[in-house]
Amino acid sequence: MKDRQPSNVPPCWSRYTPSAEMPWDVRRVVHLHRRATFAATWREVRRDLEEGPQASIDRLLAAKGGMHGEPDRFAQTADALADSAMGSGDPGRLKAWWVYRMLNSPDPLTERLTLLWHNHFATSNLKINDLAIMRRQNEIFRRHARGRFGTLLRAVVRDPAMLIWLDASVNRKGHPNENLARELMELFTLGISQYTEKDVKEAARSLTGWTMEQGAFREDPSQHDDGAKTILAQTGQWNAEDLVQLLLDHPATAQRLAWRICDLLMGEGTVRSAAVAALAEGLRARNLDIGWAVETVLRSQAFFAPANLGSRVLEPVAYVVGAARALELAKPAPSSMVLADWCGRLGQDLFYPPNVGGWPGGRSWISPHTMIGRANFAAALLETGLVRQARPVDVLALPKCYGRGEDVGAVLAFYSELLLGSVLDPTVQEQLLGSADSRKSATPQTLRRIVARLLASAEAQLG
Amino acid sequence: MNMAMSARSVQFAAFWLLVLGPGIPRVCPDTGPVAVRGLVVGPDGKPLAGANIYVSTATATNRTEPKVRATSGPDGQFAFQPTQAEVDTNETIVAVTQGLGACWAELAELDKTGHLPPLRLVQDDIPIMGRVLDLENEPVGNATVRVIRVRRMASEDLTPWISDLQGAGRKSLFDLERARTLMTYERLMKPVWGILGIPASVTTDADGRFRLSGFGRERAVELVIEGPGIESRQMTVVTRKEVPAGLPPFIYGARFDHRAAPAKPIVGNVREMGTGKPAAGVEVHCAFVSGSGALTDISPVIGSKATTDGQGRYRLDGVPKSKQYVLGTAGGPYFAAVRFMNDSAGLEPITADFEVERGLQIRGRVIDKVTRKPVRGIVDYFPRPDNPHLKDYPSLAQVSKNTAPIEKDGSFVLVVLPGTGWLCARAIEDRFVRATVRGENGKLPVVLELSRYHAILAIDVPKQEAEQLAYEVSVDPGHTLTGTVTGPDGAAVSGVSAVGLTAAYSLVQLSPPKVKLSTAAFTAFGLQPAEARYLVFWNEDKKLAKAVLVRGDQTGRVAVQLEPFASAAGVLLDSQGRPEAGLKVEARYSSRQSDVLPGELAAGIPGLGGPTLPSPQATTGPDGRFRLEKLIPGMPYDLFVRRGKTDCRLREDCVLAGGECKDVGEIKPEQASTGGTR
Repeated sequence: MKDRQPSNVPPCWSRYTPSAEMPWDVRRVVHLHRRATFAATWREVRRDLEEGPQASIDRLLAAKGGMHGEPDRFAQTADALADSAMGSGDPGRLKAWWVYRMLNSPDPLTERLTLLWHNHFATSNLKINDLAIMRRQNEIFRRHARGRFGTLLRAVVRDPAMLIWLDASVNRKGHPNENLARELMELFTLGISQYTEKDVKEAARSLTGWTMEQGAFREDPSQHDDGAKTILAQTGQWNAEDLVQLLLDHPATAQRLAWRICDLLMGEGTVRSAAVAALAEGLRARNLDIGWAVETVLRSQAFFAPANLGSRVLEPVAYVVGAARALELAKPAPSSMVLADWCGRLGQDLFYPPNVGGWPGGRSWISPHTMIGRANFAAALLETGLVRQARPVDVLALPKCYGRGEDVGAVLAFYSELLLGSVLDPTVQEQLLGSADSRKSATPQTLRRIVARLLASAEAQLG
Repeated sequence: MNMAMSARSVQFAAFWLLVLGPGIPRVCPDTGPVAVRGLVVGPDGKPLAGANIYVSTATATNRTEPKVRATSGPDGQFAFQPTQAEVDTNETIVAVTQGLGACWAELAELDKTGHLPPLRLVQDDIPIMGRVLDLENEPVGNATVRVIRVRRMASEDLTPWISDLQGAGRKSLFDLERARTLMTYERLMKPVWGILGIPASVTTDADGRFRLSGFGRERAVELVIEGPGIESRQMTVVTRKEVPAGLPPFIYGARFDHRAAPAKPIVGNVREMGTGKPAAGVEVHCAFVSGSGALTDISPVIGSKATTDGQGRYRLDGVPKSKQYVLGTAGGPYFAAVRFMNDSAGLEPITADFEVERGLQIRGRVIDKVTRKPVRGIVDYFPRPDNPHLKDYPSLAQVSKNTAPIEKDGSFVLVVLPGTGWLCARAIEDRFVRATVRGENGKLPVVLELSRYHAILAIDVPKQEAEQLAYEVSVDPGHTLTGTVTGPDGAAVSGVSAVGLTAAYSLVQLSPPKVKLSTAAFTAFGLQPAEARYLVFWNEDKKLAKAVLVRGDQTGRVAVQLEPFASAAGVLLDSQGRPEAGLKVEARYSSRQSDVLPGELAAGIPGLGGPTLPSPQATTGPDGRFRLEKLIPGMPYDLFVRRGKTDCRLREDCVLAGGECKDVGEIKPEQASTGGTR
């Protein structure tokens, strides 16, 4: 693998080099995959452990991942699944399509970033009510997930999903509707308190004339207010394109973009504002190149620092898909529709974010209700496989396959390493193993329960 | 009754009409049991010897292999004697021979001498080769592929159907445009429910693959795929190597992969209300609610029904996992019951128990008033709101009506209340007059929409002897008018869209059905003497249109000469006389016309509103000007403007001549009245 480093890395994002204090170990390999993808299989963990951090990150960036290598004709299959979802009119099938992609894509990092943009530009099918439009927006997120933010932003705000979601077609000359203008500034670019109410009103005037016709974007010059406007202290006959450029050029946009990327890849309280500012500065210097920022963070010392390990609450999608992926449930594979349904039950209903602000994330994912839900998911996954014709998971299969011990303790140790990246604290281990009887009679059912408890443990909710 | 229930009622009624078969409006000759004679030809058009001829009595559920009734001779000719029952129920005559695709015709197609149109067998070189996969791209073995029916066009060319379906786009199965296209072709495509020698079902192998052959080229084969853990799904397979892109879902070419969603089993018990006894022989079916909350997809109903056993237990397999399920019961001496069930996690069964309420089972028959032959369709029962027994039947209050299909012999069995109510019949063949009820103005329940039905019979059912009674409902073909559509040059024009040719409203849309005329000739059905009706014709490509007012008592052919579209222009001003920009102006059929008709046309003009008729729209420009294009000459229009959420009528009863551009002048708000109708 080519050993490369993003150019001109800010000092606080200096490159990670394994050391005695921060060795390249199972913990860090698992950490990399839990943050940047949807968890790794044990085969992938061992491979990356052997090849080192640079090669592992190179592979992620080169989109050469995938559960068992690239599935045959992955793209063709994914497209066929999406087409059949469109045809059925069933949103559950569209969600299943995306989960299939997350599980099987050779480019899981891009799928993770697609989910990030789905949350950043949160648009719900509850209002859109058109699977084809939702799919199209999702493809935009994917296509530009690691490109220039300006390209992504322009594609999203001209796309029917956003135009419908934020009522662009009723934003007409003389009758401005501020919804798109406000969210464009507050959520998609600058962030709150970076603009005034006057800016919003003027931005809405700039956006007049952007509308839809027969399901496609259309610019209607007769509805555009071409008078002078003052936006962010700059005056001109701004139109929608000008507005987007003004926002992209504003330093607050880079700052918000840097925050968004850190929010995904860095743990709670592990990144200082100076580091975010440095990342933002780097983004501005590189025309808001998302890929550069993602690579910079992933290769950094800060990313692999002890404080950043296990310091972020896994969102339901990462938790659910990650579990299915790490356990290598492939023959038969769990139902992607059921996995998507579980994501929704745990609070993250794909294509249905709660509002324009997206999912709050962080600790809000955790409540007594969702913890019970996660435990139920873990039990259902292990006991039924979530397949069409219920089949309990053979939890001995993986340790056997990888030459690990098959007694209760060894099985727990294996799954701890696979799922958490480390052997559990003895106290936690005791709790998971339960009664002495269950340790002696290690029936398949006992082992499944232990692995389910591990998946439901507090430690397994952090990534 | 809430909106969801209303939608469900229409949905199930539409479903029955689709399942029962075609609705070709035609006038059937009174053939009697004369011998059937016919000619079988091969793909080259030459007489074909040795073809087996049989009468297909197969249905969606009964696939008994029939006996061969005749074999074509060296000259391709055949003859046999049908039974009176076969003639009455308009059975299908099928010609079959090894190595060629079958051909068929209905007994109603016999001419006066007892001859069928030639039966031309087609090349059979395009087998159906399908594969069933799940949403994880894994093959589904041991799935059952059932042949429901096979359809063909009289022209043996499916291209017009495919083209119209492309127009419907890749929309959901319950999309109105798609439903309308399907309904149109239900009338045009001749079906047969089973073909001798073609198995009623096959099973997929371990790789999820199956093969079916013997249908021949240019056939639309309806299949249901159902299997372990997968949703049951109806689909149409076109026996062409490839079908164009952009077709609605689940219409495939002869080689296809079908991706089946996982199923959610539903189990439960059905018990009799009050006694708690198990209710055996009750059918439980399921529709489901899409993520947007709308009822969707009528087709899985075919695969998603079960019948209770002696203990009242049932198990529904094949229901696609969804957010919510709408479960209903039917059959036996019980009223229908409905439950809405939320989904549970995973694919383990959910339990839905029912208590069903016993009613009175009545029998009846629906016949053509003139020929007295059976008529297929559906019958709805509505209790009168003032029926004193209604309060004793809470389940009927929930569903507000009961529906039953009319069988081939015209018979129906329906569960009703004792006391007064209405039996409302809707024939599949939409060639009868619309139902009327004399002296009941203001007494009909809101959900009893007269325009949907061909006949309504008021009944008063005695509590004790209900099961000995037999009700006869007759539907009246009324008067029929035929005519021709020509262009401005007098030459015949085909491919014209038409509204008003039938009397009843579409069940799907509650508006007059739109048809596309394949030739210049048309027939208007179900006219009553004291009726006036607009027949509306238009062709957007040719920019021609015409609306003509016909009377039910007129005779002779109707000549319709299309004219160029008309237009109307005007200026909208505010109360200060300033132009009003960005307002939507719309021209709609003027329902007020019924008020200005001559008094002897007591039945008035059926409304022409609804989505089937074009309603031209325009938006006012910066100068307040608007221009409405594509107005149909001869049709009365009201012009409306939308202000906020209110429709204001600008002009009333505008009737324009062909090619005319009417200037309606400057209009201020005080010149417009609120309260538009749609």
